[in-house]
Amino acid sequence: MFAGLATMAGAQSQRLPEPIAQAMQLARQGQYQEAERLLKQFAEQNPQDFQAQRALGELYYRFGYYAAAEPVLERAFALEPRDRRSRILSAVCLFKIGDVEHAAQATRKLLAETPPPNDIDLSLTYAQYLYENHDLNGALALAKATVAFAPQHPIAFFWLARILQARGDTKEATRAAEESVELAPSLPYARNLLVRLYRLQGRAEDAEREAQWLKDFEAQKANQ
Amino acid sequence: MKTFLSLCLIFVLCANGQIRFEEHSLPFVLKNGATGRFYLPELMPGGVGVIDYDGDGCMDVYFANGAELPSMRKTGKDYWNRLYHNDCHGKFTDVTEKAGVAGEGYSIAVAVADYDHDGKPDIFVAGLNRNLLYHNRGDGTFEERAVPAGLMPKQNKPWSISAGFFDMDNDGWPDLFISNYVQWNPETEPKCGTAEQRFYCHPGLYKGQASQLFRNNHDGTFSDVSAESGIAGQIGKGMGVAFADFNGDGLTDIFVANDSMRNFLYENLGNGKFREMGLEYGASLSDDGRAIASMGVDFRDYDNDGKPDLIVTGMINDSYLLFHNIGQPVFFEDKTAQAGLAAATRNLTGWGCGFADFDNDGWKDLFFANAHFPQFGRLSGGASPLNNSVFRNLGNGRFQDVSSTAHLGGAGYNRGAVFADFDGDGLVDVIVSRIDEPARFYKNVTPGAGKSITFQEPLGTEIRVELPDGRTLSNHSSTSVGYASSSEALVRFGLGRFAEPKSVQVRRPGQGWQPLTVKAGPR
Repeated sequence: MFAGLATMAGAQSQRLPEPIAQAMQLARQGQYQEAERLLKQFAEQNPQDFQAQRALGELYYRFGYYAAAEPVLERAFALEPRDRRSRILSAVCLFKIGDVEHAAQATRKLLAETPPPNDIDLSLTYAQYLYENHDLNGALALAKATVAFAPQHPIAFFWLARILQARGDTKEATRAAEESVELAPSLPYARNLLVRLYRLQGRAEDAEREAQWLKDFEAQKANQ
Repeated sequence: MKTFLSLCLIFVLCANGQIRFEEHSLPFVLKNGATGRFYLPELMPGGVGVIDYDGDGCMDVYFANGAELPSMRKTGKDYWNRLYHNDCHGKFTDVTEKAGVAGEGYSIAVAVADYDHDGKPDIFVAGLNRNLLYHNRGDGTFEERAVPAGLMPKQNKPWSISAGFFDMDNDGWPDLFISNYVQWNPETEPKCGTAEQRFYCHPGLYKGQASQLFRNNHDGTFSDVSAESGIAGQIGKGMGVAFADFNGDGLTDIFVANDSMRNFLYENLGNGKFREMGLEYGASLSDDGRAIASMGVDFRDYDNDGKPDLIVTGMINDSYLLFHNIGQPVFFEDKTAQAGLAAATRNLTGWGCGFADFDNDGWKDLFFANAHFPQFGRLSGGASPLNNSVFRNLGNGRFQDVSSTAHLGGAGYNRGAVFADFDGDGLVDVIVSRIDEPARFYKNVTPGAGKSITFQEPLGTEIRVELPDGRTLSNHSSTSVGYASSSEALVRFGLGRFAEPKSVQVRRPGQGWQPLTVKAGPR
């Protein structure tokens, strides 16, 4: 959802072991099950290998299997306590699987670090948490901060729009949603929001245009 | 117009918010015909229907059942659909054979209504390869009439998941909507997963189907008006279907939960035509702009503002969707997060669902029948069978997960859920079908629950009950609920601490609001 998902085993400068490289290739081709099989086998054979654990954790994470990802990322972090990426992904996973108390705790700790992690997934997940817990001011501040460090990120603008809309700031929300669409015209997320925002402002034609775009987008997907 | 009022007032202590059930097993075991070949239909059975088929005033229950695959034939009694007679105390006896309702083909959906106005409720069953219309003879037996009634095509029957009766034209006769899923053929079933670990394929790999609308001809037959009504113009992957007049124009509208594509909201235009307005009216996608794997749906007013709202179940990582109806010009807004349902349901996969006031405090609570897809649990880090869940409506727009104290029992592959007072104690009970396990009967034993009042009115009737403290409750007559299921044909209200309402207003199809005199008295 938040795009910008981590490139598997991303920041590692050293050469990756062959099974990890191969699994990454498979994952890029959408062959999730094969990638999982390879990485799982490699991680089981090398339980003390940080790279193996993190790569498996990131694979689960990338495909949305957060409950499976979280303990693997915890293991990776235990093997390499300096690896902030494992902690970030683990915190996001905790949110996704509903362990919000631990997730919020871990996130607050990460956000307080210097330099701040400036991770889009983490920031927006935490903004979502604040939004869901009626802390719209906190959510807005975080969304604005995210837009500041990722000014080209359409999902950051989308969340900014959502939060502004929830606060009743229709005009600013519309501006942020339009910015999101401008940054990524092929993404549907902000367009759905724009349908409502335009209708609220009596802009029926604009709302209809966005609704039609969403219908065409879905039809296109169905024909692929 | 045939209308009568039944009223039950239960004199117990006021609601204290402790929704609680006693879990019982029913003998019915839902069989999906799974043989390890991962045919998509294996995921989909089955619905449940509430029917007082013998007119004794107590709610009986009918279960749709699967069939052998790939033949799609009921090759043994294990695959029979089943009708259970209720002795009025929640004791159920299998009367399938005598009633003649064991069915044919791979059944999934159940809808109940008195389609021919003979005073006896009938059963419609839809499924993968066969539709059945069981006409109630009134002597404890039924006659199958789908073909003469015009409800079973001679060829190319689409795969149906849900069906529901509603009154599309306010003529007082139940019309029928059938929600169809995808084009499927066992011979061309794609293979998904790896050689070692097969999975059910994503619905994206199958082409969708149009749903169907049948107008009641008042003579025991129906006319297929799918094309002229505009329903056939939308290709979806329909699962649950629910009905309500969302815009207050006196016409019943239709919501179809689509699997992994935008949901459809058919606005009834009043001239036999419908237009799909889900995106325009905010009920198609979640607030983050995604289509979820929508399965079950209920369409009722949870906040008593007089405007029916929507609850839609989905898959893990979706969160179930709560669409709050705020009226013109936007109509629906996604209130899942604000209601406390986003995080609470994100890790669930849901099928049956419904708004029902379990503690009779005047606020409709939420029930979900849950289960991940088989094999999915491994990937999500947990087991695939799930516990069911119940959320209490706090009356302030928020719901609280009270599942852990509600005594809902253990996990299973839960599917259809129906809501009715099966034991006549004034509290709404729940029955849930479960794959490869006995169905669950959740007898509502909520301590200190309030009193309740019920009305039996034609489909589409809206009722507003004013309590002595000035609070107004709203509900409407609709049986189609959750996933492939049909609940009791009563409009039910919890009265909280009051013994009776101050006043009742009713709007029957095609009429204006009018007061209703309530002759109250304890049952």
